[in-house]
Amino acid sequence: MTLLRAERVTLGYGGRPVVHDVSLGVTEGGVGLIGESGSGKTTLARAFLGLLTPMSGNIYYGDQTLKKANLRAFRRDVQPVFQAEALDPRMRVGRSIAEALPRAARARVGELLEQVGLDPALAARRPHELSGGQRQRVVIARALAVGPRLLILDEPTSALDVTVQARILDLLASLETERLLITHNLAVVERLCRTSHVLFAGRVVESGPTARLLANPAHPYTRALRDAVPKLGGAPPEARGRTEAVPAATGCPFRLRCPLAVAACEQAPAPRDLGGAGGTGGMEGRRVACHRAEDVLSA
Amino acid sequence: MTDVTPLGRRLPRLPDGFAALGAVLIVAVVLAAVLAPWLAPYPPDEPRPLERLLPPSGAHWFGTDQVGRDVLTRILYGGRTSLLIAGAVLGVSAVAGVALGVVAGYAGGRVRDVIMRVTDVFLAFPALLLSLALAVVLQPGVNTVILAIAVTWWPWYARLAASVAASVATRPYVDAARCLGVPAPLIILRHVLPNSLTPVLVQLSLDVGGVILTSAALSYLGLGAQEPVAEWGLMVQQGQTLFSTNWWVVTFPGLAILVTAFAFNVLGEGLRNALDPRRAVR
Repeated sequence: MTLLRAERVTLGYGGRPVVHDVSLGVTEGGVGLIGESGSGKTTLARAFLGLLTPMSGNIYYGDQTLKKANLRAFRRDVQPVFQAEALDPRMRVGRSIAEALPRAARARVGELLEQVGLDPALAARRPHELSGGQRQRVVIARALAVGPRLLILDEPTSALDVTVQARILDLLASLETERLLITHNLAVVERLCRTSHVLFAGRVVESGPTARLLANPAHPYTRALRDAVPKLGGAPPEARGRTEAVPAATGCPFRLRCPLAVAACEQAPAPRDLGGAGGTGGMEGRRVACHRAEDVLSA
Repeated sequence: MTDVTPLGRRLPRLPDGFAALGAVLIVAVVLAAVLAPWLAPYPPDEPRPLERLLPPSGAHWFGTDQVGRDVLTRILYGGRTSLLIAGAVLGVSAVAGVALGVVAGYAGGRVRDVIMRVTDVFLAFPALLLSLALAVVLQPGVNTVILAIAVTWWPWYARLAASVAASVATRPYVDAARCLGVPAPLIILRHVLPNSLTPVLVQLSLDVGGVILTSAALSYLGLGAQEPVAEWGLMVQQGQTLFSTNWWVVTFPGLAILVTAFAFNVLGEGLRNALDPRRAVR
């Protein structure tokens, strides 16, 4: 059974929805949520963490909704890893980690620091006395303190330089917990997640196995994201379509930026399985919400 | 200067020169007030009609007032009253205001609405008018002044603390604590309150002069400290008509207020630097 899943979840702030009717589960091998700033990734992550109540739909922890679930067990099983800045600036890092532990187990702070590759002596320091990479490791150590089964990683490497990123990714990949990764960095998601969902304007526009989804996107937005990744020695990425356009209020939300938009895109496309109901020809497990998916795939 | 230990751990640097000056002045003012009975050359409340309005001299360094009392003596004793009023008003206001403010800021929603509407009610009355009303109902005196000013002062701290706490409550470390199942009162005590205090401490230091002046206004209207009690604000108010002819009567107590307010202001600025852990290493 999936540990955590969203079913037809709509989320928002002050009565205004920003994530619309999203259904997805955290499956084995890591799940990535990909999208640009404002696409609703973090909002969805907050709902999965029980920090935001859905306007409609439900988040399920096992077979129970979060409202009815045993919160104590949920907090033990599901932990966030936010960015490196997620440490209280006034608290010594040892105390930050100890906050997650019962009083009798506070001696484990040093052990947890060692587990994430840090010197236990760093427990006496405050966050500003550590480097960005060290802070990120402390954030991970704190999340690991309660022995979670699932980590929800919200842009865990985006504030770090590339060499530090690589070491943090190694650490995350070595952990035995399941993971839901929120990022706009395709290389990170490719490394850590077997399955990915692409969000645009609060809607899942494409889902599927990460490697195949990135190698051969079926949605023009996924393709635009992939093509926007700079390559060493290559030409600078070229932005296609109107990248400044806001999401369309009706129909396909991406149509104002889509270079392939046609009249049919004024009707919102329903998510559909690619390659028929069974999914064949390398399209197993892939879903897309686009009228022109076949044209994107063959382009 | 930043001190670095062998482990590379940096210690907060000392307050800058101005803050140190402020601290020295405050210590001097407090010591002068505490030691007034031993330092003062004359009794504080003994009229000497033959020595009325004497200018500064070797016998009376700061001159004498309209009933012949030594101004220096009354400034030393007046410091006790003024500092007591300022300390008590700001202590009560800050404790009550910050406690309600951080709860409002963290909880948000209806809790915040209720607490903020209560502060609005207090803020809707002109502060002096509300203080006057209270002072009239109660007996005039120092305790009345403290209560009357604190009642009108705490809502500002509640608002300040609420706005800072609301911002702190959205920080990821607060979310992380929630995800660990830390109870709300502990999150407030461990994370929200300590990270909301810096602007409150700075505001406290800036408010010392204001409270002294407000208490002076109440004293002037006959509702605060009463003659013969020495109090700086009362001395300024009583001496203001003499400024053009006998400047020392009003100038020296005015300077006492100015120096004290200045000292607390620069100390506040130094505190802000010292309490901000990110500034401490720069």
